[in-house]
Amino acid sequence: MIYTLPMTKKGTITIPKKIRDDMKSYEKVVLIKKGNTYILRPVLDFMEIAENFKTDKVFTDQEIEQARIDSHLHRDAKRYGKQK
Amino acid sequence: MENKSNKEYIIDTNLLVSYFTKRNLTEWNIAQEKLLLLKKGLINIHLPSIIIAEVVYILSKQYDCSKTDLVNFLIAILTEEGIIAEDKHISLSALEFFETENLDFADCYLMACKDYYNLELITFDKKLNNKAKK
Repeated sequence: MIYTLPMTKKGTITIPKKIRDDMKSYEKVVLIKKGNTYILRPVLDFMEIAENFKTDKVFTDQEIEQARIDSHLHRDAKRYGKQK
Repeated sequence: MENKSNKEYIIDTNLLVSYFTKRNLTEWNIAQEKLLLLKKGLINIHLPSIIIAEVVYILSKQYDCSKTDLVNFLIAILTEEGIIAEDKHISLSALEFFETENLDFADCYLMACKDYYNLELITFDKKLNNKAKK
């Protein structure tokens, strides 16, 4: 579904009613600039998202800490290869 | 905008990871309590972009969390009024890049910075360079 929205001289646009109606189930939306595009994105409830996430993976505190460190090393390794 | 009279906290990566994955009940309870207070607008939480980057890495690489769930979760957290992040708009944009581009979060953050400040990116990473020139 694509809408072309006219813009007033003041830069105001009106979101079509159908889209506004679709958005009514969300508490808020966020407008994010990504490159040359603008994305109007409904914001979901973070508690609901977390509640719905299921995993059977179990990691120790040390493994999580190592993953945290790896998150920084990962980028270096990708760029420069493993240091000998 | 955050309420300046609220008590302020800064959170570590493991609070969001424990909350999202429910990996430890004690930690989950503490995280749940703080995030509920955040949601009610009763506390402010500082969330540096480096913590977001670590959460993205751990949840996606360790826990195989889908990009959509991960991005929805972090956008929802970042857009809470009590979240204080000096580069919130850049982190939000970086998360959008992360969801749709095949780049790691640090690269997405660079792309978002480049756009926001209208800068030219200098990198020796060919893939990133190509994306930046599009």
